[in-house]
Order: sequence, then C-alpha cells, then structure tokens
Amino acid sequence: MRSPAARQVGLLAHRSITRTLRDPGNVAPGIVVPLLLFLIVGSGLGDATKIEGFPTDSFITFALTIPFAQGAMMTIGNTGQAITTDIEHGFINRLALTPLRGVALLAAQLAGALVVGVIQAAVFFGVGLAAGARVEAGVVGALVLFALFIVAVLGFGAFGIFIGLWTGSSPAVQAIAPLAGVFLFLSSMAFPRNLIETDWFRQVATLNPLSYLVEGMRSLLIFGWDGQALALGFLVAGVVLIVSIVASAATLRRRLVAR
Amino acid sequence: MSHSSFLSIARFVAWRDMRDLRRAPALIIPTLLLPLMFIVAFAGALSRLTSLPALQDIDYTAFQYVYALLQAAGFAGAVGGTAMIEDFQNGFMGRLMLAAPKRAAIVAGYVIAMLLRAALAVVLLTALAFALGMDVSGGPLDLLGLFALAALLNVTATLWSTGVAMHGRSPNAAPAAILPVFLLLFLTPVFLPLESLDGWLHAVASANPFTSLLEAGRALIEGQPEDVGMAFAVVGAMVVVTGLWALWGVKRAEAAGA
Repeated sequence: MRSPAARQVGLLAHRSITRTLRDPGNVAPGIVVPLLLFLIVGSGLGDATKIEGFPTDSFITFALTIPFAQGAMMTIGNTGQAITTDIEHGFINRLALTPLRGVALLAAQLAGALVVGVIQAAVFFGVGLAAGARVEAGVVGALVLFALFIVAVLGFGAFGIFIGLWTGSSPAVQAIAPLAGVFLFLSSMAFPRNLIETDWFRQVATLNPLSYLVEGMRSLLIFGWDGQALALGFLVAGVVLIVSIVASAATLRRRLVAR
Repeated sequence: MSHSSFLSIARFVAWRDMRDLRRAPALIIPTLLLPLMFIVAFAGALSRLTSLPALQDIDYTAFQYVYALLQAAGFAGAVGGTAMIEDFQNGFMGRLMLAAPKRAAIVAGYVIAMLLRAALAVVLLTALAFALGMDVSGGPLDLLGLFALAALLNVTATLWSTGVAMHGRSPNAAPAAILPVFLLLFLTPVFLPLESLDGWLHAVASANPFTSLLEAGRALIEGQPEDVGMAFAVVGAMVVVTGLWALWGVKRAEAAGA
C-alpha cells in the first residue's frame, strides 16, 4: 500500500502530465524551435569542418547538441508558466490548506517536464540520426546522453518553477525565460571553445557553465568516452537541479507562510 | 476623404504604438532579442570562419550584422500583426474601424509604427556592432542602401502580418503573422555565403527571395555593391504583393463588420 505522501505526489504528477500533454503549445515549441536551429546551423555551417583542428568531419554530428541543450532550457518557460497559472488560479493557496509537503509539490510539477523531455529526446535522436549525425560512444553513449539531457531538463524545469514562484506572474516568466536562452548563445554551443578566435567571447564561454553541459553532451557524439567532459556536464546539470529545488522549496515555503 | 484625414489616422495609430512602447519599453524585446543574440554570439563564436576561402578578407561581425539588421527589421514588422490582433481582441480596432473613413489608413499607421520600432532596433544593433569592432568598408551611400533595404523588408513584413491580422482577427492568426517571416529569414545563408552551402539548404536559400536582400546587404557593407538593383526589385515586388494582401484583409474585415 502506498504511503499518503507517495499518493499525493502521484496524483499531482498525473495532473502535471495531463495538463502538459493536453496543450500542444507546451510540447511543440520545445521540439520545433531547437530542431529548426539544429537544421539551420548544422546544414549552414558544414564547411566549418574544413578549419584546421575542427574535432569532427560531420558538422551535423557536432550540432546535434544544440537541440538537446536548447530543448532543456526551454523547459524553464513551461514549468514557470504552469506554476504561475497555479498561483494565479489559487491552486497553490488551496494546497496550503492540505498536509502536502512542498517538496512533493515540486517533484510532481516536474513530472510533466520529464514526459516532454522523453518525447524531445526521441525526436532529437530520430531527426539527428536521419540527418546523418552519429554517436561515437555507441548505443550506451546515446543512453548516457539521454540521461544527461533528462537531468538538465529536470534542472531547468526546477529553475522555471523557482522563477514562477519567485515572481508569481506569467508575463514575468514569459520575459525571463527567453533571457535564459541568452546564456546558451554565449556558450561553446556553436563552435569548439579552443577554436573561438574572439578573445572576449572565448573567455565568456569558458566562464559559462552551460559550455560544460554542451561539451559533456558533445563528447559522447564526437569523441566517444571522455570522463572529464561527462563529469563536468553532469555536475553542471546536477548543480542546477539541486540549487533550483532548494531555492524553489524555500520560495514556496515563504509564499505559503505569506498567505 | 482628404489626404489630411488619411494621414491623421495613420499618425494617430503610429503615435499610440509609440506611446505604448514608451510606457512599456520591454515591448521592443521580441524584436531585438534574437538579432542581438545572433550578432553577439555568432560574430563572437564564428569569427574563425574567415579562415575559409569563401570568407577571406571579410569582417565576420559586419557579415553577421547585416543578417541581424534584416532579422530585426523583419521581426519588427511581424510584431505589427500581433499588435493589431491584440487590438482586435481589446476592442480598439473595432472602434477604430468605425471611426476611420478609410481603413487602409489604419494599416498605414501600423507601417509607420513598425518602421519606427525597426529604426530603434537598428540604432541599438548598429551601436552594438561597432562596439564589437565591426569594420565597415562601404561608404555612406552603401549604408543608406543597406538601411533602405531593411526598411522595405520591414514594410513587407508589416503589410504581411497586418494583412493576416485583418483576415483572421483572432489570436489563432498570430502564428501565421509571424512564422513565414521567421522561417524565410532563417532559410537564408545565415552563417556562410550562398555558394558555400550545399544540399537542401542551398536549394531552399537559392529560391528564397530574402536571400537576395541579404547578399545585396552584405555586398553594400563591404563597399562592393553587386546585384543591389535586383534586391530592390525583389523587395519592391514584395511590398506591392503584401500591400495588396493587406488591402484585401481590410476589405474582408470591413465586410465582416469588424
């Protein structure tokens, strides 16, 4: 027999998944926009592999990390929007009257993001492989890439929940979520860091943690097994996840006390 | 119906948009965010591409600036349609349609407003590009030509999107106002010259009318204007076609009693 806490999480997770999948607007942009950028960058920069020192002869393979990284970041908008809708409709206030624990609510809210993440990964792999990309680390490497992507989806999803709880306003989430994408553009997403000629950009990309997330994913695609790159990738995604959950839980507590 | 009333309606619509922008400057973000990201990120990350034969002796920041400029101009125009759809939703368009003796003036007002928004975006983008070290080989006339191309692209996008808004008059029409502009801008030689592309993107970019604008703009900023006349002819034709589309939209909105 399930504990009351597990039952609560199950019910809320079911609600989160149903609500997410019911509206194509929650799923489609997180698939279409990253794929579009992947196809444009991947097809438009094919000649870049002719540059001396470029780590692969397939730019499509190099660029396959773009949809994974961007798709994970777009989770911020989805989860942030969902939690602000719950705030604006009074759902969170009603939950405050029940014995539900805050962490249970947060975990359940991430269920919808998790399901969308699985769909995104399947589509990204399918389109990427059909476009000619390959995974140097093989099938196991693809599974590890999937795992890293899911940790990133949960991490950015939790960050979106934090933003939503902190601001409590849908327009604020809609304004902040795209700005988070700026950090991805300022990473080594489009080019290997060691080949970036512009000094200030290389320094920004080196300081940007998202570069290491992207490079961790990319290592499986173009190098095979690179323990350091993978460890850094999981570290970045894991830190985002843990810090965001802790910050969200604290913000949720404050919001409930304030009521 | 006198010219003065046509102009006064157009001026009022444009003034109202500028007033909204002054009250909420964040409204410029959708127009500016992606072009800013493109010029900062790609001019910074991809400058090594100039070691490729196709890009030798080319300033990559200037190369990307032209794309970001046209992108900002196009997005500003596409936003005009979504602004008009919002005005249909909040009832302002209904009142304006009743009050305006000639409704084409309303579209003209949006065209002026979106040109002003694009001009604001262009000023910010240009300042940023120079801050990033952009090297412009073209003279003042070449730059004027480049800005004229961007302005005409902005007018095309506004006429398209306001036409969609007049035809649809509901939030469901918003994607149709934005997506074609968004896609046509992306399906061009964004990162490398057209001749360096291959496969499906080369075929699509070659057939895309926006490509001739981009290539002419890049030629102008390099001070070696080639095929500029053709680019102006293409964008001129687009202005005429989208203008007819917008006028048809006005007629349909009138017929629907909007």
